[in-house]
Amino acid sequence: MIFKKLRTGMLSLVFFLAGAVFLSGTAFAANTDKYAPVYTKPLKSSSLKDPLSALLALPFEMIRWPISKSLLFTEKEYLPKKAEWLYTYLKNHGIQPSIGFMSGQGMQYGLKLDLPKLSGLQSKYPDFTFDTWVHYGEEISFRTGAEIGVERVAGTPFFVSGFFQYEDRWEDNFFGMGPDTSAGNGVSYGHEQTTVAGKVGYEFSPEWKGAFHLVYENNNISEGESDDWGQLSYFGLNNIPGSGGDKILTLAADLKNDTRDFRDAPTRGGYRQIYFGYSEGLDDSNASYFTYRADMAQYFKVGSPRRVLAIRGLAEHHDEINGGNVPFYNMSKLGGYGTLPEQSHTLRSYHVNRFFGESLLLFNIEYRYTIWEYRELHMDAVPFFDFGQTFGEWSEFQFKDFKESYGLEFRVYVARNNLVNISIAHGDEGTNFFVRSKKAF
Amino acid sequence: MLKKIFSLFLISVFSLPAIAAEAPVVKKQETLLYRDVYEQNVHAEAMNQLDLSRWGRKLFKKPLGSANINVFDEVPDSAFFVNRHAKSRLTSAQLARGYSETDGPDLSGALSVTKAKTEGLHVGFFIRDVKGDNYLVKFDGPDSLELATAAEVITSRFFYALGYNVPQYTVAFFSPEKIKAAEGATTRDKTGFKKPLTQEKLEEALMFVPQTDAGEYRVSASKILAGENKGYFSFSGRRKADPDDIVNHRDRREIRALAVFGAWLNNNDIRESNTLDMLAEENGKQVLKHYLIDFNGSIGSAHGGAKPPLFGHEYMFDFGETAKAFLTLGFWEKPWQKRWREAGEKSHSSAAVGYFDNRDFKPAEYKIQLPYEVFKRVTRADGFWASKQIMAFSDEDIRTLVSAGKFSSKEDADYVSKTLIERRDLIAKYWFSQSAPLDDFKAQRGKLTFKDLAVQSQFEKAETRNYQAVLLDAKGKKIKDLDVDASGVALEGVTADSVIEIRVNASPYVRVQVSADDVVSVRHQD
Repeated sequence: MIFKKLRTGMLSLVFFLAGAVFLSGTAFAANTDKYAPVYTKPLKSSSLKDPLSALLALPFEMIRWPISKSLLFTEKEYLPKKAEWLYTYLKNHGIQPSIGFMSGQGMQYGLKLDLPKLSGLQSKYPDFTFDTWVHYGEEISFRTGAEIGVERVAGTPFFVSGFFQYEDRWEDNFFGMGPDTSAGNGVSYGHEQTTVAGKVGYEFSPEWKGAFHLVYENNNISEGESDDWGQLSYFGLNNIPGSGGDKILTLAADLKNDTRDFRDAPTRGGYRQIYFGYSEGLDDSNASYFTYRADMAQYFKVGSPRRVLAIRGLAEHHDEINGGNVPFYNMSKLGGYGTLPEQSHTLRSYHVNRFFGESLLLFNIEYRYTIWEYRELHMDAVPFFDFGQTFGEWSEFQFKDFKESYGLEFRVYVARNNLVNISIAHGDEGTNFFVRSKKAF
Repeated sequence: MLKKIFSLFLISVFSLPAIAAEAPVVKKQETLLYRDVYEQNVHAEAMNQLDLSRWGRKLFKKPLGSANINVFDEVPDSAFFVNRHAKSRLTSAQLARGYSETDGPDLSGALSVTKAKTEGLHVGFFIRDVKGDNYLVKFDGPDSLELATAAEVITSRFFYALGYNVPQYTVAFFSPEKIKAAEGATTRDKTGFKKPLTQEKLEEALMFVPQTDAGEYRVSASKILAGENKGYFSFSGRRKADPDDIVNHRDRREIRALAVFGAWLNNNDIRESNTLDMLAEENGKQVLKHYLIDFNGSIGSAHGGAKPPLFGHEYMFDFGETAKAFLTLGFWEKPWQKRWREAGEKSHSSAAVGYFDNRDFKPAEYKIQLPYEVFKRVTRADGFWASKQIMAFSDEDIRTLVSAGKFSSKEDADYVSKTLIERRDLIAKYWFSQSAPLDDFKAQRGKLTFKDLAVQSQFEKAETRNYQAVLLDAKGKKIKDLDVDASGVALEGVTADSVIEIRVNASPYVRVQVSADDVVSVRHQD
């Protein structure tokens, strides 16, 4: 050790003297070889950072090591490949897990099973479908169900299916009906719904299809479980149609046209859906109404597939007939991200189910533009603007009742499949934050 | 004579550390792509913002010069770099052969696969030939025969001729029946779990590998290096356990210059995980040699086929470019998007070439895909040095080096050569314009002569060059102007301890110290 230090000291001295000789200009340079290891001062390494910068970086340096090691382990052990294989394996075998988070509603977990795939019967009966699912939303609901059907009946464009679902939403919210309600008056209620449905349809072309539906619903309404919210009775149960629950039979028809070039990240085309339904309450239910709905979106390339303007319009009206009513839970609803069918439509800065009404008018505008891409990955920035309102009859519609919501979303895609979205939305009633794997429209 | 003896003495003394050093006891260090991405693209990018001295240098334009340059502003030989073509021209045969231990795998017998290559860009296998030599063979991607294999071999030749350590790379052809899975061979299949590599699995892996018209596989074969694998070398710090590794790698000119050479060879995949340290015996001494490896992401090639349009233009996560795109609502057309649009959104018509051209090529803006700080520290002096290295390659040299890629089409070889020749000139012209591109200083007969490399390379006309020279004292204070023209600087009144500062058309300076009839030191402004 001492020898090592002595040697280092001696060498440094020799270097220093040699360097000094050179700097004095009296040295005889090694002009014979301009690549010779002759230096003006001894070679040494300076510290990579000045002390203050090193101090500032210290907390980050402390997390660097475990992250680096974890990443190295992840890659060395092929964990992404194993995860991808597992996901693909599950998907190919009809098992599709899902996970998500929504502010105010907590974590969402789901599992969907494609039984023909799972049983290995899909290759034998490719047109036969049988899905079953279970979904658990940490703070709001539990849902399970199944759908069984045939895609092309006997090779024709006809399709049929049967549907069953049980859903318990123990923490739904209600704020009153119409556009002029207060967020502070929100109450909670429990909604247990059992649905049995049948569908028969015809696929006119890959872009056009239509179907008839027969739906039976059994709705039980109860008090909400949250202590933080008031109860439905706050509004006076007599003033709320359907507050005692209903059994409802619905006969409906829809027509769909979809010309999008990509389902998740369309750059052109659009979709159009029109729906008409007739619902009648059974037993002692007073429900009796028509439902009319038109939902359409169009996607426009703005000079490049990297810039897309997406516009969506949704109009819905429930028309009471035969002196009956529209149960409040089946009314048009607005608020939240709006990707789940049982939830209210997209008005992102507002609470889910914030607005109820017999009619609804909604417009969503998104400008989607790519800000980063790397091979099959790309990220879009999406400034968005939602404006919509619920109201009673068409005669009650007023422009001043529109509620606005605006914000920014970042969407990550893999090979044009939506991987994850992070968004923030702001409006008159505050700010919402979402992390989703499915976009609004 | 006395001077020469003293010079040799000095050289010997300065070489002492290498001679006296004990065998290095260095640990293997590991890295892979994910870690590299996190370390450079996330951690280092954030830490740079907290680096006060870095901000200071940026604000006051005080770049840090390389620390391993000698008195003549050159990079002496080391375990990282050995001056080759720019120092002493290699013959055509030497250029074409590159670093060579054998002629490539012995194809007289079977090639036994010992293990599948499970990291990196292309399908590959570790094989053993009948002589018992071990190689890593890599194939081209589907529908892009010759692309990756040619790129790998050509680029390895360039890096070797420049002075870097590289393994032996050769292009080899063999019929499908030659390749056999050896007993005990392993692979990682699509499950990611280690599995035995059976002949069936081997054939499955090769199913989409393209074949030549003669029905043969074409591979780039790199001979496995002798010695003990010590993992990657850092582009930042040094290995303290290695007594020969004295200077932080961030401050090594030859490492910084990889940014320039990477731009030339379109090798945007230079990263720490594509380097290798091998502990091997040399001249009876254990030496840790530092290698560059894995070049099949160079020229027009990348994983799976032609280079994606943004490669070379953006980092993997390019926060600056992303911010620009975000703030301009996507209406700002990025340079690579413009280039791709102007190319009709098509690569070269030949799949063997991929996406490689000089359209909108800007030497200073080329980006290696991870934002290593070492590449951001390239100073004007470093760029000038790198350009000198590049300009040492004549058009004919470049054609010779490209011929090592064994393109089946002369047009493809000519196109790649032509593009490299043009790119060489674009790079050198740029860096020569950023410095006083003067070299080869000689003090003789009362005059300091030099070569103006920009004029010599025909980037500038001699009549447009306006040289200025001043005499400085030892403290850098101006003493007087000196007479200077293209033929040199008059040394009248120059004493041994004074320094001559020369500029060309108000360029940064080059400072030269002369004794009576010798050049003592040269330093280009950083």
